[in-house]
Order: sequence, then C-alpha cells, then structure tokens
Amino acid sequence: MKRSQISSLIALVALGALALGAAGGWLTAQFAMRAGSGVLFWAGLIAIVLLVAAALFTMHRFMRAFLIDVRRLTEAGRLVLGPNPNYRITVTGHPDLKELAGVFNQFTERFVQLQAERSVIAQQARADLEEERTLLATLMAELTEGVLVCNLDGQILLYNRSAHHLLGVEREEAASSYVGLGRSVFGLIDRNTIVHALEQVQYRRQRQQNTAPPVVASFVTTAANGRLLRAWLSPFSSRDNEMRGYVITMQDISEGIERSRRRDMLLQTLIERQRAAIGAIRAAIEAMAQFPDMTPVQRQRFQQVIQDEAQALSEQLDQTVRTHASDLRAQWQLEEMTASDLLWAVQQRLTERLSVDVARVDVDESLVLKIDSYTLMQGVSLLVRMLVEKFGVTTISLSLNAIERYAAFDIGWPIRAADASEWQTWKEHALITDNNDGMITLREVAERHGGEVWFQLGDAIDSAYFRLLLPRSVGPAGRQPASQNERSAAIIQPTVESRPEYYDFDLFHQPGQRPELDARSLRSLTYTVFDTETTGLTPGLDEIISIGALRIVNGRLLRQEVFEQLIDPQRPIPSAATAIHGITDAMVRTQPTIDVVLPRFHAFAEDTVLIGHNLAFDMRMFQEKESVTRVCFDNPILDTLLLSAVIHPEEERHGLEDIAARLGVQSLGRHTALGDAIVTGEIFLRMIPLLEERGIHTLQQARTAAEQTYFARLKY
Amino acid sequence: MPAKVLIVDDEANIVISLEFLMEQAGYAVAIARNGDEAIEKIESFRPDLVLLDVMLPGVNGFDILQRVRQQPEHRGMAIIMLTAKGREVEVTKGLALGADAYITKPFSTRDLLAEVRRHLNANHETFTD
Repeated sequence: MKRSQISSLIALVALGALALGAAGGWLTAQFAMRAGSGVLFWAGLIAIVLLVAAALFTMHRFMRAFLIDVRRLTEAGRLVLGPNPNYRITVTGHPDLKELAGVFNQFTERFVQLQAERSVIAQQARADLEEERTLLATLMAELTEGVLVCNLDGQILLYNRSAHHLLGVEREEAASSYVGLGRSVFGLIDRNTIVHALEQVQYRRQRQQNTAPPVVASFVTTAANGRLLRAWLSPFSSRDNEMRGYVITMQDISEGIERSRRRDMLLQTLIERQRAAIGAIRAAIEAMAQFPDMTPVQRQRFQQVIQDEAQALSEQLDQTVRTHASDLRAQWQLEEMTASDLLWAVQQRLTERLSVDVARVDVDESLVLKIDSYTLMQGVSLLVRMLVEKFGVTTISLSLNAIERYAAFDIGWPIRAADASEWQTWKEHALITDNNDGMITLREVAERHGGEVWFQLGDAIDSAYFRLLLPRSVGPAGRQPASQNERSAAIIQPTVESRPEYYDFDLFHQPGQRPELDARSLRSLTYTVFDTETTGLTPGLDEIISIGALRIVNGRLLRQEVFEQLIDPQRPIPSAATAIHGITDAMVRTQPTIDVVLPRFHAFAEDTVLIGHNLAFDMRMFQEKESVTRVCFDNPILDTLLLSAVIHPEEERHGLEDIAARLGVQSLGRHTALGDAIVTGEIFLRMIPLLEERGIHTLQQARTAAEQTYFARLKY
Repeated sequence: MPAKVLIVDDEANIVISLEFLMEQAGYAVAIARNGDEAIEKIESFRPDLVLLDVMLPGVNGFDILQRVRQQPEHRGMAIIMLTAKGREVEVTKGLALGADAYITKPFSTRDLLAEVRRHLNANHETFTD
C-alpha cells in the first residue's frame, strides 16, 4: 500500500511537472507564433526541455532513493529469515520508508520472540533424546574396547576414544588415514578382512531365525598403523530386517603379544642364568665331596665359589621380581581410582544393600589405586554379607592407607575377646572359593590384583579385620593422556571437556562421498574448512607457518576432529607478521617442516571439498610447495569471500569479520589458523540457506556463481 | 702322555671346578676364557677334547664348533658342549653342528667325567686311567 502511494506520488510529481512544462511551452509557443518572435519560441522550447529534464531528474532521484531502500529492506528480510534474526534495519530516506522499516523491525522483533518460544519448546522436547545421546557418548567414551559403527559404504558413523587411539596415527608418519566421522573405515582396516567378515555374517543370518542371538564374526587383523587387533563385527538391521551397517569392536592384542613375548624372554634368561650358577655350585660341591682330602687352599676356593654363586643367584631373583613384576603378573583390566573414591563407593554400597553402619576410619587422600573395582566390590560385599547374616554384625569400619608399595584396605568389625579363637577358625572359611556359586571371595580379589589378604585381630582384641593389599598406581594420579602431552606435533586432539561429537547417525541417509561431487547438494557434502598463517603475503617468497582445519560433516562443524599444526618455515618470521598472528621464531623452531605437514594435511582433507576465506591465496601457497611436498590439492574448492559476494552483491566489504558480523557469527580466537577456520566454517554453514534462496543448491552451482563474481577475477 | 682337555668358559667359578676335576682325572688341562682365545688354544694346544660353552664373549660356542668341524686336521677332536642354553632347539642345534655331547648346566660331575672318559677312550687309545 505504501509502495503504491510512493509510486503514485512520484508519478503525480512527474506528471505535474510534465503538464506544467507542456502547458507553459504551448502557451509560449502560441504567444510567439502570434507575435512572430523567434526569441520567445526558442525560449519556450528551452523551458520545456528544462522542465522535462527537471521532472525526469526528480523522478530518478526518488526512484533511486526508494528502490535502494526497498532493496535493503528485502536483503534485511532475507537475513532475518535466514542466518541473522537479530539484524535490524535503519533507513534514512523517505519518512514513509522509515515507517515501513519501523514496522519491519517490529515484525522482526515478534518473529524473534516467536522463534525463541518455539526453540524453548523444541529444546525441551529434544532434552530427552539429547540425554540418551550423551549417555551413549559417555558410555562409548569409557569403553576400553575400540568401537566403530559403520554404514554399508564403510563410512564411520560413530567412533569412541579407544578406537581413535587404536587406529589413529601415533606420531609423525606422513600421510596415513584418519579416524573421523564420515571417513572410510577401509583406510584404517583392510577392506578384504571386513568384506569377508560381512559375508560370514550375511551367510549365517540367512540360515538363522530372527530369534537367534545376534551374529558376530571375529577376526584378527593388522590396522593401517601396524597394530595387531582382534576385532568383532556384528551387523545391525532396520526394522524390516534389512542390514544397515555394522559395529566393529576391537582390542589391541599387539600389547598382549608383546607382553607374553617379554615374559618368554624373561623366563629364558632367568633359566639360563640359573643353570650357569647352579652348575658352578654343583660342580664345586661334587668336587669337594669326591676329593675329601683336597688341600685347605683348594677347599677354600670351592667354598668361595659356592658362596659367590649362591649370593648372585638370590640377587638375580630379587631383581627379576622387582623389575619384571608387571610382566609376571597376569594382567587384568585394572583401572585407576583414588582411595577416597573407592572407599566412598564401598561405603555407599554396604549401607544401601546391606544396611550396616559403615564408619570410615581412615583414608589416605593422596593414595591412588590400580584396581578392578567391580571385583573388589563383589569381594567386600560377600564378606560383609556373611558377617551380617551369620554373625549379626551391624557395624563395619573401613580404612585405606599406603604400606610400602601397596595400599592396605582394612575391613574391620567389633568382636568380643572371648570369641577370638572362633573367628580364627572362621577366617579360613571366609576365604574359601566355591567355584560353583560364582561368588568372589577376598582371596580371589587379592589374586586378581597380584595382592594379598589376611585376617588379623585388633590390638585390644575388641575388633577383627581382613587386610587386603592392593596395587597402587604408579605415576601421577588420574587418567594419563601421556601420549598427547608428549606429542608436540599432535594432530588430532579431541577436546575432552565438551560432549564429544564422535557420532553422526544421519550419515545413514547419505550416499557415499565419492560419486559426482558436483551434482551433490551443498548440505550433503563433507568439507574441510581451513586457514593458514604465513610469514607474509607473497607466494613464492613467503612461507606457511601454521595450518588449522576442521571438518564439516552432515552440516555440522566437528570441533573434535581438528588439524592444527605449526610449521618451521626455515626462515625468520618478520615482526610485522608476528604482530598479526603472534607466532614467533621460537614457537616454530622445533616444529616439522612443510614437506612433512602438507602431505598430512592432504590426507586429512582427502575426499572433501575445501572451504576457506580468500582461498586463492592459500591454494597458491600450496602450489608453490608441490615440488617439495609431492602433494597436489585437487579437491573441489569453495571460497567464502566469493560466496559472500554472491549473496550480498550490494555490500562492498567481504572481509571475514564483516561477513561474520553480517551473519551473526561470533568471531573468537581470530588470527590463529584454527580460530579463523572455525569462523569460516560457521559462516559457510550460515551461507548455505542464503545460497539456496538464490537457487544455488549444488556444488557445481555454487562454484559457477562464485566464479562469476567480481572478486573471482582477482588472481594470485 | 696324558690326554689333553681344553676348557672354554668365561665364568671363572665353573672353570675352577672343571680344571680341578680334569686335573684330578689325570688330564693335561688348558683354559680359554673367550671365543678368540679358544680358537687360538685349539691350534696351539691341540686338545683331544674340548669342553665348550655356548655363550662366550667374542666368537660364540656354536661358531667355534662349526669352524673346528670344517677343519680336517681336527677330525679326531671330541667336543662336548657344556652350557646353560638348555632349550631343546639349542641341544638339537649343537648336536646337528657336530658336537659329540651336549650337557646342560647344572650337571653331575660324575656324568661329565664319564662322558669325557668315554669320548677320550674312543679317540685316544693310549689313555690310561
């Protein structure tokens, strides 16, 4: 309505001017003709022309003012509907348009409000699902076995920390495969092995009824990183019993094999050394026995031999037991736990399940144990249950303290001095293992931990206790991500604090990444967003000193699967450059060089579309290095600078910060390669719907549109 | 002339007993404490029998055994492996390389002497107890 008013106003003014001009001209012409004055005729004509020109000029100005404001309103509408609902427009032109902008902003306000309300409802609805997912993720993260879930194309939909550890790259090996969502499992585990296991599973499924237990195929394989793995593959199906994918569970058996090899060697050397020593002793003794009339000097020599060898023998034994204790003991899955945590858990369980009063007598807070807490809990529960049920014990005391290289866990209860001998008899009974009832006694607990257990009476014979010696954790308390701290050149560092993005079940609905990327929709592609920091801006002269990258899979920026690497440029970094990105000569001195890093980044970005801001520069830098790195980046690329120009052609500024502000992306940690890559990734994700509004849906369309923008003509 | 026995072992404590026992048995005894010394003594001392340890500094016992067996001039020399390496594969290896006997430590000195005597009698007719 406003718009039509404006139009009619413009038309009215223009028409008025024209009519005025025409009328004036006509009158002048009439007058001139009658008076026969040429001067007047020409003056009239000029007046007409001037008036018409004035009218046109006015019309043009109005049109321009209105149209530009109208266009800005349209853009603002798109922004609000799309990436940045908080965008508000200010119009400086015509009062009517200002009013329109005001109404527009009010609408926007309501829209934002409605959206917020809707998202609250949606959030509530999603909370349950989210909780389950978190539970799953946590569960997976804590498993000691590696777990991979793959679809039938071999794309990884889920992996846990152990899988990442088992299959990941240890150190600086050049281009190997990465564990990551949407990546192919075949780069990590031999394809034929998996296919064979799948065939086995398929075959067995065909023969079995639905009620049969789930089919599992097991195999031993060498992973791409050289580890020896025992793996179990089990399929999972959709409701119509169609196989949809499979779960691979795996354990590293190279460590086990390595350990038994060490044990073997140890046994071997032990036997050999003892043979030699005992050989010497036996020969000496027999010589003395056979020749009793040997001289005292000779006898003295033999005695010395026996003494020396016997002593050496005992020392050897001690040393072996000390240094190889862990090799000699059977390895259970022991976990680290602080003494107070353990005591708390035991206390909780005893109070809840057996309703006894539990007093914590004493605990060494700094003590960390290495235990199988489940077994321990079972053992302690069994003992206390016996005490409660058979002897009516109602109070239990617990203490946990360090003794030498062990932790002493005392489980005590009050007794009467008169019963002391009865308890002495009973103690053996308490430790007897009956394999049939499946109960775990304290003796078994001790055996599993390579510890000891015994019964003891308190000093005043008013209490009795079992003392359990358990292994202490060596080294710093808590979980040790040792390998991560060691690697200065660590590549993939999953951030532990945030909820891991280790799974993406939506990948089920996605075809393989390979075929015809060009025709694929922008939403379905896998991207590597990256940024570099350099010593300067001249390709060929300047060097890359940092690469930061992360991936977009299924429309999510995976902050866990990160590539972040400093690079030794083997030349000084100008202070002007350091001022921008903060990277100093000292920081890069011990870092790998570009010929090592770029192949690794190439592997990281394999089979993905590269995204970057002003990518032409980075690609040019990579190209410069092709002769040293021997890798050529032939991935399809999309440049957020160009895409911004596609989306907002009327804007002049397309810097990363400008775009971020326009699209409502918070830019934190800018001017680090990874920080910029994250911002670029967020921006790109918000651009996708804006591109779609312009009919740009596929990779091909996006590339074509980008190439046609003005900025694309600037070349490096 | 007594038969000659060469004891090759790097562990002094066993050598003491072996030397004593062999001397008491009436043999002429020489001692080598490593592989190279053993090779040298085999040439200079020309023993009738060698008590040969496997684990030696320098050339190991198996190598010495192999070398001696390749030399025709030492054809009559008896070689008894006397070693802490007692795994079945090692015994098999020693015998396959041409050792006359393979005795693992610890051993009975009586058995050892009987074994020594047996081999020396077979090769050395002039031997008298």
